[in-house]
Amino acid sequence: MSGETSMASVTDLGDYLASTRSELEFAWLIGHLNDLRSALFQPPAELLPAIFAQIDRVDRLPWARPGPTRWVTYAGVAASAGALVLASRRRWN
Amino acid sequence: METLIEQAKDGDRAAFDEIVRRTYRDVYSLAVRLTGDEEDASDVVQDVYVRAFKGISRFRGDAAISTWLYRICANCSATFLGKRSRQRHDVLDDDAQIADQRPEADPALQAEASVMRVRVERAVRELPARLRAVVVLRDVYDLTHQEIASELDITESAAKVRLHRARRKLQSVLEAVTDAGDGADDEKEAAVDVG
Repeated sequence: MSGETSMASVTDLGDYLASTRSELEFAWLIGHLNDLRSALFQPPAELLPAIFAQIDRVDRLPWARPGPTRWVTYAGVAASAGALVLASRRRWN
Repeated sequence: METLIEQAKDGDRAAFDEIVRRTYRDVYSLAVRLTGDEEDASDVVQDVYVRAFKGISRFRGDAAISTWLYRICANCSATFLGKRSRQRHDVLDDDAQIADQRPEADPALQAEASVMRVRVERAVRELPARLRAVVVLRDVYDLTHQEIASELDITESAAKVRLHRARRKLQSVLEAVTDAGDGADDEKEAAVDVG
């Protein structure tokens, strides 16, 4: 087991050292890989409505919304909690 | 785009929707390349935009929004593939259809560059998922080693090792295919939709 581990480490080390060498040896490959970025896959027609439906679902939850709404909600919840604590203290005192 | 981002950060839903419209094809393409499956990619992309919507107010603008979305996509894909491999014990779906195999491919657009692109796309798809993710994020989408390591939850040196292995494997596969030379007709047909 330890033999396997040390062999794996030696291989990893070899690959690591190789990975730090110049990228020149892969220049041809990297050039072709760069080209893939402009080659877009065609998304299915239902994807965009599905994305918006998911966002709608989150948008209905005020604390998940971006922007000031979220902080107003947090402030509202904190104020309510504070009022509740004060009210219960007065009641017990 | 900057204006849209600022509006979206202030909670403007229409602005966020416009960002989605402008970026989702690109993000979907990355998701297809990372998951190797179009249906899985659709699920991942929905997760990406839900997370982006929740987190847009934290987007600082240090990098382009596309890079920010790529990073979320890398993270969502890794989570998705992790769950799937635990469920099915298989990481790659060999039956996955790639977009370049669709019948509506137009032979008029055939070109040598497209043939090569399909060869590269196929070779990338045949890589094991852990190697594929790193090479796609680094060499196709230009993320840094640090960004890749962070999103895939691995060390930077592990990212470098995987990248080197992936490149070496791709290089040998592509050299073998190029040497064989034939099969170009099939590839020409397949090349079109990707372009």
